[in-house]
Amino acid sequence: MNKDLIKNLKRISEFEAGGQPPEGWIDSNRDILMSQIRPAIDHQETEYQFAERNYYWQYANNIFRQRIMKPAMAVFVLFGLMLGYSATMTVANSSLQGDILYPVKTAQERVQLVLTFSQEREAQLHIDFAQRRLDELNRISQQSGDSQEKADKITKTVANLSKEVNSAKDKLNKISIASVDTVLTIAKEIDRNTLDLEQKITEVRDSLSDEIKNQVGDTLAQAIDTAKDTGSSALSVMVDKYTKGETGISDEEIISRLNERIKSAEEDLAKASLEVNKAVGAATSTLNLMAESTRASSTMSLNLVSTSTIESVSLMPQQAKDTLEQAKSLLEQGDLVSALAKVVESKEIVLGATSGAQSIVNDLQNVDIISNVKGTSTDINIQSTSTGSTSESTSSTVGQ
Amino acid sequence: MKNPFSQKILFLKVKNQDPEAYGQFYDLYVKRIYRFIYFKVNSVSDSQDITSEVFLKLWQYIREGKEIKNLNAFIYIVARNLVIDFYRQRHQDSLSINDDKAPDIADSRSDMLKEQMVDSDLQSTIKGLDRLKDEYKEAIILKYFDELSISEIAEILNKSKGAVRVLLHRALKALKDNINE
Repeated sequence: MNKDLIKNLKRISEFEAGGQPPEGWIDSNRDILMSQIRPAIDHQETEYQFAERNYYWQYANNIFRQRIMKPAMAVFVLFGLMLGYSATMTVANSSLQGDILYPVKTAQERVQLVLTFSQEREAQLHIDFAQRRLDELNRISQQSGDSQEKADKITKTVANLSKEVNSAKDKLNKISIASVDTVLTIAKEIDRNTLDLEQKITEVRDSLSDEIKNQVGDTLAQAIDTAKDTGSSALSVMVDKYTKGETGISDEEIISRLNERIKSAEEDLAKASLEVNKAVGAATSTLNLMAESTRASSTMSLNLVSTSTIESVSLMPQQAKDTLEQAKSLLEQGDLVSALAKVVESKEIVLGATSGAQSIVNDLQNVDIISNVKGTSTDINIQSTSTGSTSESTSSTVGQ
Repeated sequence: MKNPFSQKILFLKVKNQDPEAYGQFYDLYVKRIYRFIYFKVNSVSDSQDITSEVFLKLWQYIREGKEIKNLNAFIYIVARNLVIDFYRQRHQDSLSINDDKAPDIADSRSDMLKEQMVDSDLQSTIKGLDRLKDEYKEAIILKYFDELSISEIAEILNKSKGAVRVLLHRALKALKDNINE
């Protein structure tokens, strides 16, 4: 119908009734028009003739401007913007805490999260961002100097890392009602990544100078703790699904992952044992010196840990070791839930041992004994600079 | 002048106030502009007067150096404005065409078509077109008679391209309804 109608409309214009002007009028009107416009023409004849030669050039010029220059400029500007954006993002992506473009990097990450509507994808993004913070932490730790600025950067980066890990954990909890496959995929990802984060943060902590370590040690320990906690939650989800007989996780995989956790706990235990031994050894020798000084009737200002604290801390590594042995045994028996609980328990003990050792070292730092024994002086200075290493500098001039 | 390149050159010459080129431009556009006006004023003599005035007015604009981006659309804008002026003047003179007169004009046009041995389909189409409101009629003429682009029609009618598409759709529908009545 429309086609016929349009065809008719076009035919109409062929007739006078359809708007065709009467014959003869077009020409006569043309003559009148030309006579009206001609008076203005003559004195400009030269200009028109000159212009005639230039029409093709003008047309070419217009075509060049409209068809070539404008699109070319548009493409150039677009390319420039894209290149600029791309260059900015490249620089921003390699920026570190405190850099001018660092907020651009974090803003881009927030945008990514806002534009993500899947909880699964959000969890994955938090894990990715945590890995980015770890990379930043590595790079900051390798920077020269032990300035306060460096310590601040590490503290902020590690705090952000912990935040991302916690967010990933929250997302895991939220998607626990989602499909088993989704939950398991994320849980596996979190488990693998948190284990990696734990190890890497520990490596970074060990690489720091004593001065920086003193300032950021607690923050790093908290980050490691957060990673451990999140990893345990992820593994717990996996164990839960496995024991309920859900498909998506094999016997080998769950056993392998639990073994990895046990291995990691053993490594932590070995380090904690070393710290505990050093702290306990330093405390014992200090107490011996004090006892000797006391016998010499010296005047002392003491703030020492009690012997019971030293004793309980010294027992913790063995307790943790026993708990891990139990975990291994339970794993062999196929009791995965109890095995995981024992791993978590042993980690708690190890954390207690580490913080106990640190507490002893801190208290020993406060020891300042100044005594006068028969006109001589006894100085006991035990200096400890970090949780991981205790160096003693004991000078005694007793009995001189 | 179907060749777009030749047409562009001609437009450039016109914009450069070349009278010979303006003569060619007149040859190219006079029928279209006449028809455009004719369907709006429904009078041969008035259409002739207004068409003459359009070409003179446009030449004045060109001479004054007025910026004209699209000459193809601009001449219709001039024509449209002159038709508005024409009606305004007639209204002032109390000579405006009233609604009762419109069917007579349609009838006379129909008679003309009969004289020209035009088939009944065309006759009903032109009757339907006459009964359309001015806005619809204008859109149909520009699109289907003069084959202007949507962008050009939008520029002439001072509407968005979307609004023009809607207008054309409604105009065709109204025309069909008129024909089927």
